[in-house]
Amino acid sequence: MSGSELVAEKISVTFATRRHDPGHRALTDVSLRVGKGEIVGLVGESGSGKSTLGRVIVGLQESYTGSVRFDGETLAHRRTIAQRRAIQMVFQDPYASLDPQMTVWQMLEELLVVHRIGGTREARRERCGELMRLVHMPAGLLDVRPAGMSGGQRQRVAIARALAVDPRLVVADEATSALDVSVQAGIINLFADLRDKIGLSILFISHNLAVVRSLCDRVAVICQGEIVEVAATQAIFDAPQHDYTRQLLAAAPDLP
Amino acid sequence: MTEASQITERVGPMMRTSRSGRRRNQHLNFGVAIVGIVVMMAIFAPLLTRYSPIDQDFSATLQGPSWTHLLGTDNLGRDLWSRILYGGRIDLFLATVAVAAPLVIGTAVGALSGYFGGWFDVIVMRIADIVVAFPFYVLVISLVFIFGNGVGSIFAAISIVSWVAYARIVRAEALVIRSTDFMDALRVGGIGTVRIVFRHLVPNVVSQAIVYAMSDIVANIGVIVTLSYFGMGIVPPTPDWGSMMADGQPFFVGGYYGLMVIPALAVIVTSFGLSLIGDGLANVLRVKR
Repeated sequence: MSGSELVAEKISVTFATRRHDPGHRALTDVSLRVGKGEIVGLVGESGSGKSTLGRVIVGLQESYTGSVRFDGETLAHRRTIAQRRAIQMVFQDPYASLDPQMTVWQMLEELLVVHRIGGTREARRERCGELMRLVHMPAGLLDVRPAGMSGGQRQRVAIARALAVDPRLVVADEATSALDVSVQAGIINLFADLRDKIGLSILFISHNLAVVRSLCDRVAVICQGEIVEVAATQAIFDAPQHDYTRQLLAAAPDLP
Repeated sequence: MTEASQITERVGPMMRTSRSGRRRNQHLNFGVAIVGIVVMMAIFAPLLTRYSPIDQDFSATLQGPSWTHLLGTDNLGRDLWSRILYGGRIDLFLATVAVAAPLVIGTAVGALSGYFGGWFDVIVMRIADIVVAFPFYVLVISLVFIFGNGVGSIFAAISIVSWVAYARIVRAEALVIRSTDFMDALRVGGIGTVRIVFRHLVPNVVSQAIVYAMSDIVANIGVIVTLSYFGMGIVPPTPDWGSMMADGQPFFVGGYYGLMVIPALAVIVTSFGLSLIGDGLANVLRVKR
């Protein structure tokens, strides 16, 4: 596992709601590694801190202790534009994660312009067409606003947006949870595809164990802000070591 | 939030449109028609009348409507129809300009205030509190009193007072939008703060401010006409609906109702049209969300 690799070490995050409040610890000394081309699942119940860890990794949560390294480089708490480009994110709710006032083309082009990718307008247009093909969307939808698309289409656009800047890692935070089952399957296949085609690394945050089992290489189980178990997917599902993992598996209704 | 409730939330407004959208658009159409006619009359005033609005003719004072003077003349023999047309020019122009400036300033300030929060927000909102602590008319009239009569000082006075309303409206919307996923997505994408605020936040929060602007034009016409009526606004001999009413008032008792009623009707019809536009616009923009 060489190449672009994410190493998060001893990450702690405390949310202080009021002054003089000792605060609520969302994460305690969490360490996690995502290798190149690897899909790592991060599972845990609501409030366990999985989204917070995702936000630390993409640079949305700027106050934390510990370090996030990518490709050997320690990332600043306030990311530089180049550091932002390397790690992108796909959000849970495709109805909330796209600017309703903008067409797909406007959203994608803005990113290309900001990151100086693509050169001429024609080149950018072509690149956006390729991005749409990559996420199995007709290029004709480039000039459509989110209101004119279904939930699954919107999520594909959100993925295209994440991929527009050539990231090496994508954090997918409950990226399939808001979609119905058949659409979910399409998005999951897309993620697997992207890993195979462009060697994308993915941190897949989910509470849906069935999805995690079918997609991920390794799984990290997080409970009350601490990672309690990390193992290969097969091992987690066949021989869970930690009590909490066993509880989680037992609570999942659709698993054999 | 469960999936079911999300669905009803999204389908709700659209269904409302399909049921009564046509009626609501009629508000808009009707309003646009009224205001359109009034604006056209103001713009093409020189083509619609042979008389100057300020030339006096003492051989024809206080005449009733006739083919030579469509709406008659006032006590100085000035053609009333001309004065209504030219008066509309200055009143509408000033009311519109005095909405545009506060709209732009208030939206920018409100968006920045809502997006950044912190000390900037505290300072801006305390200033806003101070401004709204005074009644609107009292503050505007005092400011015009300080600045002196005339178009420039009316514009300045209204702008100083009314940006606050836009800033508050936009700030409240910005507070909601700033913590949505798409704002986070832009940050992750490396989009700069200025770009986020003015290319993404503002277009998503400005619709409420635009709707408010329509009713604000109505309020501005009220202020301008009131100030002029009290002799504090537009300086004579420039015709305007407020000073026309004031000029006509002494002759009301003598039975020359038109001198006062006609400019008043002009104010009412124009305000009615603008209110209809505001109403229709509110519905159109709400649907777009």
